[in-house]
Amino acid sequence: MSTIDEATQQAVINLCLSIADDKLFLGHRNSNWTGIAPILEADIAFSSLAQDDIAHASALYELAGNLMDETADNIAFGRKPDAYLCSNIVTKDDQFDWANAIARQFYCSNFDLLRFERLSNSSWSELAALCKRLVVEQQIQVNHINDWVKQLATGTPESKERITNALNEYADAASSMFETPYGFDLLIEQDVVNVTEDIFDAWQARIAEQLSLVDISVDFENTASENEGGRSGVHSDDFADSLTELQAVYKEDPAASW
Amino acid sequence: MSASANVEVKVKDGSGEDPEKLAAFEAHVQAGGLIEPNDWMPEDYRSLMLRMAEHHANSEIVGALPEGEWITRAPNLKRKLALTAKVQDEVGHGQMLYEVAQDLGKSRNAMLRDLITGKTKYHNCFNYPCPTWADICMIAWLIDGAAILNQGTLAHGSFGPYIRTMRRINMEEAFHFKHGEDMVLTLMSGTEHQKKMAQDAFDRWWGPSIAFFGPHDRPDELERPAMKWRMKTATNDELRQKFVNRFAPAAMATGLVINVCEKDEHGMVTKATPDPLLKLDEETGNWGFTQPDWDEFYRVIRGNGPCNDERVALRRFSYEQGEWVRNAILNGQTTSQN
Repeated sequence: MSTIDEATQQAVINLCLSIADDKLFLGHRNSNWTGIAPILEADIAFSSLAQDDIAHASALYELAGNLMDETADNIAFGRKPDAYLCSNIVTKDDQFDWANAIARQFYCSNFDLLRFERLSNSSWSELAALCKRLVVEQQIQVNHINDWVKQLATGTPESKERITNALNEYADAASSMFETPYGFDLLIEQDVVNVTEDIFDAWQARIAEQLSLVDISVDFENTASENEGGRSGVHSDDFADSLTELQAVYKEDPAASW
Repeated sequence: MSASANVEVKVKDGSGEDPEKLAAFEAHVQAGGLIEPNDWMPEDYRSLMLRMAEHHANSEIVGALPEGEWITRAPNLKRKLALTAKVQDEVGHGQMLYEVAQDLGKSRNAMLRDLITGKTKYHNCFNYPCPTWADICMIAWLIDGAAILNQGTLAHGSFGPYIRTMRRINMEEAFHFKHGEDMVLTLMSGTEHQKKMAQDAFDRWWGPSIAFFGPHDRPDELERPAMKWRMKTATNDELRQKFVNRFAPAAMATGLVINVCEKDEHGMVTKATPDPLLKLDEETGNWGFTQPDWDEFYRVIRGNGPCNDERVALRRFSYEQGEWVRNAILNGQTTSQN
């Protein structure tokens, strides 16, 4: 991508924001567990995942910010609700149920790894370079969360039931990750997004492979293209609650330095 | 973040032990020697050390709660990351300190259970409210600052595993303090709204910060087991004076006013007047200050502070909602390993 027209630039920004918003709200939601997770060691590890996700979001906001002439903080904290492009799964309330938190992270981490792998070959060299770096950290997340699913599925009958229910509970919401942001086709045309396989199929295969190890089967349906959701700025009440909390102090005085 | 300087426990002084062994033990610790878990120690030493480490560990994980609640409201990406990392550190300190206590004979699960049933305590300062972002800034600056002073002396104690843990924790606390100092300076060089937030929060936290070190020294302080056996190497009043000497001028340099405050039952300030005793004694180098409200201190310690119930309830929620996870991960070995 040597030269960039206005439409492509907007599409590139939308792509960065859709990933960064997913990461920000996922980290935001998961940081809620810091201090109260079920095991101290799990608390510390989950907090690291939250920090990774927020740091990944920061890097992507920086990249988008260069094109938008705006700071990462103002992009992250200062937009109107319909300008956020995160999928619905990342803000879905986990009800402080550890199985829900693990199921959500399992779906999202595996999806993010696929996204970063794919974007490591982007014709936009800056995005490709960033994603090559993020793939390494994302793989650690995936290893960690895949292990958690296995542990809960093989722990006690109760934990197997709980994680199975949570994986099913979040299956519909997982579909929201596959909605594409506005201008996505243009990015495929210009090899900003290098599509060699259907990402839903690839994701489903990885998830199924992990779940087959512990005899869990979940049915997924990709309904993202049929509905306008988070990537189009159409959000749930859970998103509104998260955004209110995210902006609580920032909005006291957006011009102030904190 | 916190420390066990003000742990109030009734202990014996080793009477009943073999006098020769006790004399050799006391000579060893008074000469600066270290005690390791498998060394001979008076049963009262083991018991007091266990309670100190347990109280300290409890304080770390309860201390994570008020700050943890503000992670999701942190006002920018840098603060959000830093606060998450800080609270994560506190949980990590809890984990390390529970290990120290476990080696002295009590399982982690038993300690967590005793915490949520009120059988054991945690540091008093976490029973105060944090109604604004500025309270988070003050905790990181004042309470972590107090903890560094206190733990700096605890790191010269006599129990090997505890002092090694203290040294590691203190390095992380130094980051927390810088993080707090940076946030306070940012507020105090910001808008009028931010400066007012900072002053209001400072008014709420100055009292608990100087009460942090615990009640006044007793006349026989140096003869009490914690000092005699070198578990503590400085008295509460010595540490309190050191804290005021450092933080009173630092606070004033930022533009903060040190007030004596009256508070309502929710811990909110109803009246604030400049501390009339705040003055540097040129001869001693000590700053004068009004003592904290000791009636309030004892009220809160007895469980009647503004946030005692809330903090314990959240720990109980965490313990109960996580029980099935611990059963799954530890395969039913929660009693011995968790």
